[in-house]
Amino acid sequence: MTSKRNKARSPKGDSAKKFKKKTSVLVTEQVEYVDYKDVNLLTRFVSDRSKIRNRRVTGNDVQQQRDIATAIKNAREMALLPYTKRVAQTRTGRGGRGDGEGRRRNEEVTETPEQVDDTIESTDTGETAEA
Amino acid sequence: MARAYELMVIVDGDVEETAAQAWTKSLSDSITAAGGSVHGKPDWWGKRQFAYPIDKKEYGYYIVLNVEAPGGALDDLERTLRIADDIVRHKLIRLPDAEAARRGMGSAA
Repeated sequence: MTSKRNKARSPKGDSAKKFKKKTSVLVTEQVEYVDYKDVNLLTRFVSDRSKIRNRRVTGNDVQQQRDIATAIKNAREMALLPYTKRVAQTRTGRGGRGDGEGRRRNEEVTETPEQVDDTIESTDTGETAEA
Repeated sequence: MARAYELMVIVDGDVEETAAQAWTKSLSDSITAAGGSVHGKPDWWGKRQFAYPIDKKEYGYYIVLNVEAPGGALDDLERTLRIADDIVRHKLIRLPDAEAARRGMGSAA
């Protein structure tokens, strides 16, 4: 059983091309201790909303990812990194692009007047387009 | 057995700079009084903007100290830091042995 599964997962032919293994920045820059004070390093493992990037994106192994995560959390406590960051005007109406989580948050954010105006405008244009 | 720590302290940004700098001295004094020692010079970062407001303040003075002390010796210091009004936040981290050696701290144990 297990051997079969391993065989199926082993890179051969096109599957190897699809998933190129990423090497972490920690490896390329030979970081031996992830310091929570090193904001420039930590920001590279954080999305533009200041969420911690996942292992698939960063190319970290489990231990590296844990070190990075704790360092980011420590840096957040000491106000060196933000917990969240508002991204201005990424939202286009409802639905649109972005991940599901982002969309859910956008719906919550609609209370701010600017964005409410946006939605009204978009609906207006939609009606005119129909007419 | 002495252990390697790193202590970061944020002093309220509304305090006068001289008063904030006086904290570095009082910190090192209380560390030595507790039976520890400050390794190297205290790192004074100066006034720095927070990534987010803390207690409706935008700025704070950052101090970083490398400390060697026996385990538990700094508990009293932490308590006073938590109580002190001028201290916005502090963080005491036990450095891993490899990193302590890299900073030249492990050997003096």
